[in-house]
Amino acid sequence: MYAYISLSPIGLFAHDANGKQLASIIFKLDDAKDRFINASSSNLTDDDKELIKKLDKKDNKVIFEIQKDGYTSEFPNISGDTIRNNLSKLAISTGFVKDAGEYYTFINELNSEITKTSIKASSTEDRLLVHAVSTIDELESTANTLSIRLKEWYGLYYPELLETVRSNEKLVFILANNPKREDLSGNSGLSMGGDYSVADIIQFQNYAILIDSIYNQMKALETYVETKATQIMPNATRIISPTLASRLLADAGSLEKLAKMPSSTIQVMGAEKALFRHIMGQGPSPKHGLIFQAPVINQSKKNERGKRSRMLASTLSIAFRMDYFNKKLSGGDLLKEKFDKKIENLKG
Amino acid sequence: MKDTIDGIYRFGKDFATLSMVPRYKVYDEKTLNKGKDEYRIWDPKKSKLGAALRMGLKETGLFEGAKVLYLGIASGTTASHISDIVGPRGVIYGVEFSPRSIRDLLYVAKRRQNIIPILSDARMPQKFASRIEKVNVLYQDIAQKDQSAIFIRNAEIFLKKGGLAMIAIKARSIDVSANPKVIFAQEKKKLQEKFDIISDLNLGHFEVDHAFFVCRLK
Repeated sequence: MYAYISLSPIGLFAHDANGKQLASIIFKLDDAKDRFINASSSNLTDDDKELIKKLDKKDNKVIFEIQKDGYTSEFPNISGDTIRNNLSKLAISTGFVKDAGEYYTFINELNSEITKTSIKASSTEDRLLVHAVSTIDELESTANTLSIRLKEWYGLYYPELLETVRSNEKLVFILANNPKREDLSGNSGLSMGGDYSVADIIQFQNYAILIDSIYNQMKALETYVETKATQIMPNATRIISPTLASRLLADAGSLEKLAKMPSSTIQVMGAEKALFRHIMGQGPSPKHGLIFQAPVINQSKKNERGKRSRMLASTLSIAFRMDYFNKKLSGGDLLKEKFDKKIENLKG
Repeated sequence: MKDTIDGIYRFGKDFATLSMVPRYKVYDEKTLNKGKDEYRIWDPKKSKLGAALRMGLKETGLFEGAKVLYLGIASGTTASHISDIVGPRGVIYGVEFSPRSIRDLLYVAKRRQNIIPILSDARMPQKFASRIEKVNVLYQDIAQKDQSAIFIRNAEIFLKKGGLAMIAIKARSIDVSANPKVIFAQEKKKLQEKFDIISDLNLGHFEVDHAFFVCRLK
């Protein structure tokens, strides 16, 4: 005869195949949270053992509803199906709680606690990297937007400098240090700019200092991302640069998602617009997305890029899986070796 | 103001629910005060059930004291209105897969004790079955390719006899390139194997390429 066992927040139950209750263990309201969480694991807990002991010896074959190591499980089973029918009434009739209100308060607290624990566990290291990469992008676009205003503003005073210093970052750095016309090299003769007071000039400078600190923060984050990416993805970063690896990670959302992606997805990540245009039947399929940034692709001949992208993506998908499932595996070197050989063969 | 559908009030063209937790807004919704009562206006652009009501939904199966299983509860926008309808004697088991969304839901659940937050995958009911019970209403809003299969499986396990099941189907998450009408017909056929379909709505401009079905288990 079979005995079906199921778990609920109020305790453990065993039923026979006809839904007749054979035995039960009812938790106490005070310790129910811990015992429920404990019993949810795949190990056989003391409560499980006790319930099995309570069963008649003839009911030697037990079937759990949740997975338990070394036991058969079946979902849903008759026991779970029976108790789930009216759990709040059962909670009252077994004396677990006084009334339905007390029961649902308990259920709310129990689930909130389990959920909080799971949320905590979901905050992994790779999530930090995802945000760091996005932050770099946002800082860059912000710095560029702010620089446009700075240039226009400063152009009133010394437009000639804008002609000689083209890079925003460099210009911001100069102005943050000293924006005075007479102190800057290359200052020859008459300037088209107006003659403003020190109080006016200091305003450009303060604004430039602000933008300069954005550039500095960006550089600091870039260094951080590189170190972090090498730690989190030791294998993938053997094949592509840490920056590119973290871009792919940021696009996927998490290392888990990246590890579970097919290589064809990795190949065209970042080229979604072209991909969907193709799926809608209005364009060629994209050969590469973000991975185009890898020198092995963008520095190769155009007619080889498709093949190279496929090879890189398939190698990467293996590397990301190594990184997600087993970081210690030092397969990155071997992968790199094989990948280089494949690329070499392509040429010949 | 009329209460034509259980717990759902009508103000002109707007639908609203009587707030269980007055003066506490869940998603910056508009409110209306009538004497001591505060009504929360249901925003059809933010809630698919709200949109379905605007598109002529007549029966939700929800009632005061109902037990609800909500798959894909997210941060609790729609759930807050359902929470108003079922009231303190009802309960909503809210399953959500995204840790980020459920983080916001936890704050809502603290104020509204009838919402039970569960971080789990609706595709694997065995992972959360021991934490819930059978329900009167199943509501599902998840953008997954196999959303109909998930819906059917959960209904078979958790829906009480005679209970209603509602599903919002997003055509784009089943096939981006196909014609939504074809997808809706194909999903309807899948649902009809297990359910009698009571209402079949298109959410129109409120939620593009979405269909809404109300079903009852055969």
